[in-house]
Amino acid sequence: MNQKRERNLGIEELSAEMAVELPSRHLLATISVLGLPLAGVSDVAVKVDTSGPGWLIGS
Amino acid sequence: MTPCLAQGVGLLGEMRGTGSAEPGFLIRRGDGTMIVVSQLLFWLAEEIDGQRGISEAAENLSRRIGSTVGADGVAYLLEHKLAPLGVIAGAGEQTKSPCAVLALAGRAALIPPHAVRRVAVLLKHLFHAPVVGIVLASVIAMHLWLLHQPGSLFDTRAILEHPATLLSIVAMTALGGLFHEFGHGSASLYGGAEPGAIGAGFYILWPAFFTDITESYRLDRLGRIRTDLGGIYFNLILSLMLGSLYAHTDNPVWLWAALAQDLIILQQFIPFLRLDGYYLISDLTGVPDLFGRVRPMISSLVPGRAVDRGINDLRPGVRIAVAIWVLSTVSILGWFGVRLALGFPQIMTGAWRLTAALWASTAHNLSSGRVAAGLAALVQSVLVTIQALGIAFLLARAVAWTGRQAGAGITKRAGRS
Repeated sequence: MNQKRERNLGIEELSAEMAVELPSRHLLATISVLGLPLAGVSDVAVKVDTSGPGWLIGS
Repeated sequence: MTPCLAQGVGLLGEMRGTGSAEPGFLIRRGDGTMIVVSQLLFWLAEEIDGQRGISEAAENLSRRIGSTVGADGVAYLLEHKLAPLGVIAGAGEQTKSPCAVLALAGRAALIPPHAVRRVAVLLKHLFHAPVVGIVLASVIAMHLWLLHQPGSLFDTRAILEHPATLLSIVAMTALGGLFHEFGHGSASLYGGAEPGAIGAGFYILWPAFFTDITESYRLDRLGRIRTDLGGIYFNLILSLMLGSLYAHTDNPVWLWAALAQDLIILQQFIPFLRLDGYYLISDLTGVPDLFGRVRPMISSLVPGRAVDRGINDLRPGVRIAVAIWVLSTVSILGWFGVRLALGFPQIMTGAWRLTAALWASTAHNLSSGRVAAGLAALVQSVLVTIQALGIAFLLARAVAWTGRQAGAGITKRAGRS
């Protein structure tokens, strides 16, 4: 007889067994980013020096 | 009575790349919902074939785990663990799915899974390593070139001055959202997990596209991370195409549309809302429900309180990473909430004035035949209204939640005394 099977798992031990529903995965793409600059905020500008990012491209 | 698995239930095997100390095993319900169970419960589910009785299942299970589980123990597990999650046939009403924090609402499928799959089969080749390398090198080269262009790059004043430009950018950004979703679906299929439907819904109150990639839980960590980043990768591809159009036509609309993609990518990396950055952290740590760990983590950080089981189950390094995420998220969302609450009257007054002015502009432009300008003002007024309603809705939910928590606390204290 298998000696390992001497241990008897009671209800208390069994009640600790994990069973969990995982959250569904709905990966999103919102257009909310449009709302920020286009919803009337008219003074947002990203400007780049005409010489460009010299530190980056070595010009 | 002989137990039987519910229709459509699939026993998928061990979940890979989790942050838990104990291994978890995946079961897929007929409706596509994923359930993670302990090894013992998974083995029990494997014994349930509609032919073996409870006693035989108990005997087989005992042999596999090397300890004795009696028929009463198996009956308990079936009734209290598997049946409430809808794994066992004819088990009556299953437990209601937990309400997810800051989740997508009002979901409606636009493109069914079989159609998403058909497109994803073609697009998944974009995830072969050499192709990814070429795309990323091209994107870097294009951005270096774009940044070297003289003058203003992304100027909202210039965009607002040209209604047709504004409408084009809005349309391309919306289409870009759809393309982003195909990126997730294709990456999921490339890894070996079937993508679900692509649809639309409301995130808080902002319109959003979504892809159901719940099946990606069965992928290993790398496969899940690829799926998370697939959308951003497709934004980069779109940005590359738009930048190329600018190079050929010199029309700044394409330039701004390409740069709008960069803004969207930056936004997607925000890890405090359910955007791609959130899922990326979730998969890097191997914790599928980060928002579900907020309360247990905060409770566990209170001196003198026992560490919650939901935190204790995590590996030490993962526990630290989750603690950092929880503290950052609570601080930043809390700070943001306070700022919104304090500024609420001014925000609503400003939004009201702006909407009224935009409506007047819409009516004036349309009545004088300037259709593009009229439509542009209409689109702006819709965006302003959505922003304002979204903020009001968020604050109302926060107040209701605080009220519920306070009420529950008072009831608990009253019960103790």
